[in-house]
Amino acid sequence: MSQLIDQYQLYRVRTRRDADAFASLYDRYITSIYRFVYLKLPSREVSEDVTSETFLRFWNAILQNTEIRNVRAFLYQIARNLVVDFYRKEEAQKHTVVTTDQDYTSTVHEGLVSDRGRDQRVIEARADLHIVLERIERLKEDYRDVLTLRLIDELGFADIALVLDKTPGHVRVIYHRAIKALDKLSP
Amino acid sequence: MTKRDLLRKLHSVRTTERSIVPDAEFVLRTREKLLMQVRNTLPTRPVAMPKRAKLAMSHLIPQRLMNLVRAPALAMLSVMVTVFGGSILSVSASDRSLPGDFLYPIKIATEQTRLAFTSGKIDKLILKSEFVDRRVDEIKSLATNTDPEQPARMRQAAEVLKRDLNTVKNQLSDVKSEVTPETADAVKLVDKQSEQIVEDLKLVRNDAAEEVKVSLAEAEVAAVHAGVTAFEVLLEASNDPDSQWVVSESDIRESINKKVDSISATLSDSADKLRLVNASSTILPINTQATGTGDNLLLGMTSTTVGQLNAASSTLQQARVLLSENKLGEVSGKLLEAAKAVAEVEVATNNLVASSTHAVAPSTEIINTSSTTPLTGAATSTSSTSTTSPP
Repeated sequence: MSQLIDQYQLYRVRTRRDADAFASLYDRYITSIYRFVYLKLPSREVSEDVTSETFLRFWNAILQNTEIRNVRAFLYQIARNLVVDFYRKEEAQKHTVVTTDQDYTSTVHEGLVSDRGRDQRVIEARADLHIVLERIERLKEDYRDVLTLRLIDELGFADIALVLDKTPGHVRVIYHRAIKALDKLSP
Repeated sequence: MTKRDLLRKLHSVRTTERSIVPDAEFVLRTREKLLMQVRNTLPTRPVAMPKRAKLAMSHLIPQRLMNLVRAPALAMLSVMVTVFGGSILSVSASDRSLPGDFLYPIKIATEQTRLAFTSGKIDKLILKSEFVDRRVDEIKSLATNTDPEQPARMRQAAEVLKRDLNTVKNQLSDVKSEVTPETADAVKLVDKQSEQIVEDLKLVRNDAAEEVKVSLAEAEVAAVHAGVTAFEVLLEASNDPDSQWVVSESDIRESINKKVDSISATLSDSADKLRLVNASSTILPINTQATGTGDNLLLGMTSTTVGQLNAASSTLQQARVLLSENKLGEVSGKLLEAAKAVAEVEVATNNLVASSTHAVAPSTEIINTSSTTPLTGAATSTSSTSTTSPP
């Protein structure tokens, strides 16, 4: 039902040129997209920038008549790519000073930008996330993505499939394999 | 760290994430900024209907449902094409069928269906007029047919035409109360069409078999009747303050004058034929007993036909008088009366002509050539008939 409402709003934007329909989509997803990026990015300012950039790219995609089968998954996909881009840029900046072979997931906790303005609970959550990510870093990249999208962001298998450009069945298999792989990681 | 610890930490992260709420000011600011951008870049050109329908399909029908439905729908479509394809072809073939053909009932049924699915009195009237044109074309086609069944088929065609014209007449009565510009246009169309039908039927009737002529004459009267009803609708509209702007007085005058001229021409034809029969009556057994009245031009004719002719002529004359006195409301009734009388005269005259044709072998030639013979030339025609008659 939720998807049908999204598609109806999208239809209104594309056929009736209805800006308010786009505003409805923004109102529906602004909080969840913000949450999705908040713990993955080092500061509130960066999270806000990435969130607004996500919606701007979403609008550009509408203008370019890109096929959007699932608005929610499409927004998560954009947000995820922006988070990855952010850490790639950070990584490149770091390489100019010190060469390091850490990938973007490990930089989450390094605090390249300060945690100013965040309360204690959030800082602890980020620390926990770092621990979790550090543990599952040894898993395959697919496993990591599916686990975080499923267990932290609570996306359904169909949505994860769209975010990661895979089939829902494949995502389900990856998820179960990732859970099994966690057993092997335990000391 | 065990798997359980790991999952517990994930759960904790998730719980924390749920409590995160973006700053209200940020949400509002971003919203305004985005909406401004959206409004500035939103295309203004309206989306075409086919594209809109395509977008509706792609957006509002879930992909999964489409995938589920596509195969059964295609299968069903194939079955329908197989089952109904033949029917569609039959309907298409029936379009060219004529009365008496095997497919003709399908043609009529298809027309009835089209009519049933048409909404609006005006649209129904226009569609029925179109069907009436088809009937006239069918009669014309049958007239050139040499089929032994042709007379029976012509009679059937004339009956169907008469029925359709009566329907048109009833439809005209239905729209009388609400004359709009569209109604007026449709009624004018029917008015002109009825005049054309009368002309066409006259031409066909000249060469038609005797047994068909009565049916054709009846169809002709039905056409005149439809035309007179159309005239009445236009007249009513011209008298109504709400709709008189739609119909001009010249429309009314043009319509009625054409009808009077047409009936008058038919009456003249009948009179000519009667004169011819009268001229040749000296050799006809049927007319030998007829009593003449000296100078009367219709001397020798049966008193019934003469009486009919005179009555029709008198009625038409009355219509002319009413027209000259601008009593348009009364003209239509009188005109209809005259049309019926003229049709009866025509039938009676044709019967007389037929009798003379049977009695005198080359009389067809005489009738054809003498249709323009002046009244005073009756004696010449008589002698011509005598010389060409077999001993």
